[in-house]
Amino acid sequence: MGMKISDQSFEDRTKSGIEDLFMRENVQSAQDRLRSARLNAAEDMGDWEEWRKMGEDIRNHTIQHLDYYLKLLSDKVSELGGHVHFARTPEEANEYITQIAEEKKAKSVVKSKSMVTEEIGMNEALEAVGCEVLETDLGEYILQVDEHDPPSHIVAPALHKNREQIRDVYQERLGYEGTEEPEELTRFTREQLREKFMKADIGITGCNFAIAESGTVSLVTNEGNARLVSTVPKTQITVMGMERVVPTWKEWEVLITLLARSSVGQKLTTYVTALTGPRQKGEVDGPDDFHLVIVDNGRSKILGTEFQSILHCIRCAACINVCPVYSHVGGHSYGSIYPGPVGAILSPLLGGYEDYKELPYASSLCGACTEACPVKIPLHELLVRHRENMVEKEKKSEMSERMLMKMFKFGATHPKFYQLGVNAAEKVSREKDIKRGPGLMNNWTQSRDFPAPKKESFRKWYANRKQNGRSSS
Amino acid sequence: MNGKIHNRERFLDEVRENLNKTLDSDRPLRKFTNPLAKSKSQLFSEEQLVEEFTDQSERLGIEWFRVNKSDLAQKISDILARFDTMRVSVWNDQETRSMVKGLPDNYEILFEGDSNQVLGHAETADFGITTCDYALAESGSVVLMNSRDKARAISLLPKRYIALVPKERLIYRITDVAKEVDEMDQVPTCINFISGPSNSADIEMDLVVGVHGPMEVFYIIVD
Ligand code: SF4
Repeated sequence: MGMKISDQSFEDRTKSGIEDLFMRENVQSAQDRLRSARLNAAEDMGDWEEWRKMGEDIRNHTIQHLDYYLKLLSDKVSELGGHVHFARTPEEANEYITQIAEEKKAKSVVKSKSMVTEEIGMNEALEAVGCEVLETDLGEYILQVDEHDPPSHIVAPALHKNREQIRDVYQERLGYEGTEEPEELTRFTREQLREKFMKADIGITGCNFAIAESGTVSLVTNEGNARLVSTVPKTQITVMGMERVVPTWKEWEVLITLLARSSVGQKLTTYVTALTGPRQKGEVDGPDDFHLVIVDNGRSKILGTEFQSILHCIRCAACINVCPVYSHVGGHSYGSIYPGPVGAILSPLLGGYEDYKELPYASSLCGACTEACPVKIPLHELLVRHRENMVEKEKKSEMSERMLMKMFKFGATHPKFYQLGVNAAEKVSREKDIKRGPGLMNNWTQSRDFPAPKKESFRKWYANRKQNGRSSS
Repeated sequence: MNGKIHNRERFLDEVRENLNKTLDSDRPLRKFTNPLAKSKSQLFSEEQLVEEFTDQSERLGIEWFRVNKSDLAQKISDILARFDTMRVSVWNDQETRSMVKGLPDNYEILFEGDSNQVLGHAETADFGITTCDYALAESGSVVLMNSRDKARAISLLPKRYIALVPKERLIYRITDVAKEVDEMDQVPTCINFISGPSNSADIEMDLVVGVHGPMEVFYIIVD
């Protein structure tokens, strides 16, 4: 589907998000649970702040020497008998992947979760050459069965759906006859997919971290689907964003620790799997062929810019889980497979300001994301950078700054959002030192002379805002 | 034979150009050690490690037992007998083979050393049994270095899974494993850290076990 998940306008997307009451309640309770799980897991470490600092240093060092580590990684994989393909564009990546599928005369592909394959629209490319591509992560499978409903969260992609909706979709499309109980739905999915796994020709995985020194790719799941994908089919293809590399196992261990604790509040995810090359002689199972596809797709353009640190991201979703705006408008509003604060920064960089100009404004700048990020990416500062850049750009094209500032109001002028920012700051105050909370927003509002939040309900405000729309400013 | 590398130079040139740097002639890495984890591992005695390990296992919904080597076969067969067990897939390495000696012959015990059969067997097995290379106290995990006769599928495809944990394999955390692996000449093709039964919270954040892998996990710590 590519990174872009909707052709609707930003306003329409947020509107349907806000009106979907179930979705919002579910999202908020999920956020609460994930947030407190993360806080517990962090507290349990005792010295979480130092772990974060370590994570930041490791990511910083690796990205600074990215060329070196990618070279090392590809040399090692090749030494082990694996093939490596560097792809600058989605087309290059898909061409290589479909070529393998055709060589292997593959009919069926099983896939574990991978954001970057979504980004490059790999499924569609494979389907075009006659492969059935099956998502095997439970959440992604549900979305796929429901005619490719887009994901709304990077860790829990089907968060916006309730059990009755899932039952109905299963009934309609798979002839499911059971109840809406998650246990029963899951058991049914297991049986459906097990059969597919055993027959699949190719397994495709994403990559949480690759370890340069040993030529290893590692995958984390709770379901075990990435293990099946890399155990049963004879051919394995791993697709990774080029930034997803670490130097050695020693650094890997730190990032795995940060990832498990920050994303789901677990000490380790149920399965952490580290795969080093294809099956070696004498081994009983594992793939005969291994291909690693390393994708740029706009990432190298972020290097050397003020946004470089967004490439440190380990896709834990902690920033999404604390974001008051995300909780209000839901994942689909961001119009990208990357929602929340990380998405508001990354989507415009990968997809351009044109498609994603509103996203940097879909934030109250409360700073909760920055405080939550396990590798200390200054998220809300990057959002401000985006806004500044857009103002600059629009100035050059002689459009009024006020047009842009109007969008800024989406986040800043509304009392509910303002309050949300404050609440979020209070909620995460256990993470200490949240000085920048709504304060930063204050700075903005003062220096730019923004109106103070008005006392009206969010929906009313939103409706008004839309009505007054372009004419009022 | 070495695998092929496609389109590397052009790709990395672009990376370097944007980073505004030249090719690193030397390894850029400063020697990294994790100062935080080290001290922790050394603080624990063997008994404390067992305590922490079993405590964490319980939180993960893992049923654990602790036995002497001489009682091991009996304990395994007790667990098998609680379910409708017929087939059991077992690692084919020396150690695991010797540890499961003495199981009653009313079960079909399959030592998986044949690559043509392992998947089919494990898929239909009621139980998978393996030993482990390490066990981690902090996270209640077992660490399996899959290689040769230690097939990946045994801890994955069967309905239920038993891990045999020799007590001396207990260490504190993943940091200690990473250090060991970094020093290996040949890293095993597949290393799995397993912490509990397969699970998901993808439907309304409700935790459900047994999504793709085993529905239940048992640990037997062997003194
Ligand atoms: S930006 Fe930070 S908090 Fe957000 S997903 Fe990435 S690593 Fe996690």
